[in-house]
Amino acid sequence: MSDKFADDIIAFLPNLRRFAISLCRSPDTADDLVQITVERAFAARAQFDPDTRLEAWLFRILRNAWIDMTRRTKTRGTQIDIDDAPDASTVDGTKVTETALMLQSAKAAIETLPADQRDVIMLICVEEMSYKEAAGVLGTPIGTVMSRLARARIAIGEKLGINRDTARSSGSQGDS
Amino acid sequence: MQQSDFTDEELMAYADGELPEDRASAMDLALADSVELADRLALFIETRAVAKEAWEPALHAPVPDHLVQRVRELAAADQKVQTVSDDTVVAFQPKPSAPAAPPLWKLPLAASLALAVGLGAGLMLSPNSSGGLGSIEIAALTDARIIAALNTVPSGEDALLTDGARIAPIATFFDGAQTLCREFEFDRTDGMTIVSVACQRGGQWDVQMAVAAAAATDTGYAPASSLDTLDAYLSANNAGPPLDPSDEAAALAALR
Repeated sequence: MSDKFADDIIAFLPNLRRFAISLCRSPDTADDLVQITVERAFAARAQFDPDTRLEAWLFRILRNAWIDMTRRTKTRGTQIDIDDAPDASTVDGTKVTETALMLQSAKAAIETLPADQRDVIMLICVEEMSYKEAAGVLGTPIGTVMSRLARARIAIGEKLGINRDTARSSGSQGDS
Repeated sequence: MQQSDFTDEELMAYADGELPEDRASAMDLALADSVELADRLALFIETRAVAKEAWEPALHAPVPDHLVQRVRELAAADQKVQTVSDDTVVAFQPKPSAPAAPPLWKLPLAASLALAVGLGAGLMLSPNSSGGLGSIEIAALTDARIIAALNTVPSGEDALLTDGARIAPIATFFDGAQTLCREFEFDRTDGMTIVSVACQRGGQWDVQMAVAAAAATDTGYAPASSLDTLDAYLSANNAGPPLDPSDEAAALAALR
């Protein structure tokens, strides 16, 4: 018998894993985190309001699970660099383009942001949630989300050399 | 309109399609006039695009099978619990091929649950008796009132015993060996609710399993978590679907 709740969660597992990896930077820990999220989602299933987006609800559970996990295990030192993970990227040596390098740097730039800023980048720019949804996931006011997001993007722009003067021209491509 | 009238956050909201309409219209006009403003805007458009693209490969990494499998298991377990109406009838489905529930011995029991294998009449009805929940005994039910209730009370109804205990048959079914069984809840006078399955063996009701739920819910029925163990038992024993009321009545009549 099909169960839409379960089907929707399965369809969303890749996004949950991606967000989890951004949080913990270790694919193994990310899978643990996703599993905890799934268990909690089913345990709290009755509390899910079907009029709201399941995705936002799941992200919130996942992030809270991560906070719980870090509270319990203070093992930040043992994190694995995401670039060592098999799924981290697929850079073919002969095809290392500037774009690929740029994207790698972008990923690194996001990962090294303060956690608060990284989370809003992941939820809004990567997962394409609205400010309001992201605020719901993070349990913070929209104003806070926006100021973090703006700061994060300015920081990424600086790290990648997308500064305010060159952004438009590099956006039009063609520079070597 | 001076471009400095727009804050970074407004430019960002415009880039993200989140700027309120009146400000967005003003922004449209200002952008046409100011290269500098357009440059500032481009930063926010680009960083969004770059962030999304940088994390795109991570979305296509294969999801480990065990995660998908776990969701399916939880969904299967839910389907059984969901069939508990908010009243008294617990239905369950036969699970001939898909052993979604873990075997009984693997179940992590909630701290509030104690698994009591067997509950003799003495265990339930005589708190003074030496047997406690800690004792393990597979027992035939000997209390005449419980036997009478199991023989006669339709599923979904309950019977109060004279000492204030309550018995509520939940469902009647045949197990994989075609033995007639009844699932029932027993509320002891001390507030403990026991979820149990008893089957007919040699003309008497033998208790097959019992889970003691420390506190009954407001409705007086055992909390759903205790049903996990029940589910495991039912699937392990190939329990058939609950009999409908007329079949149940016929099956019970045949006992007398």
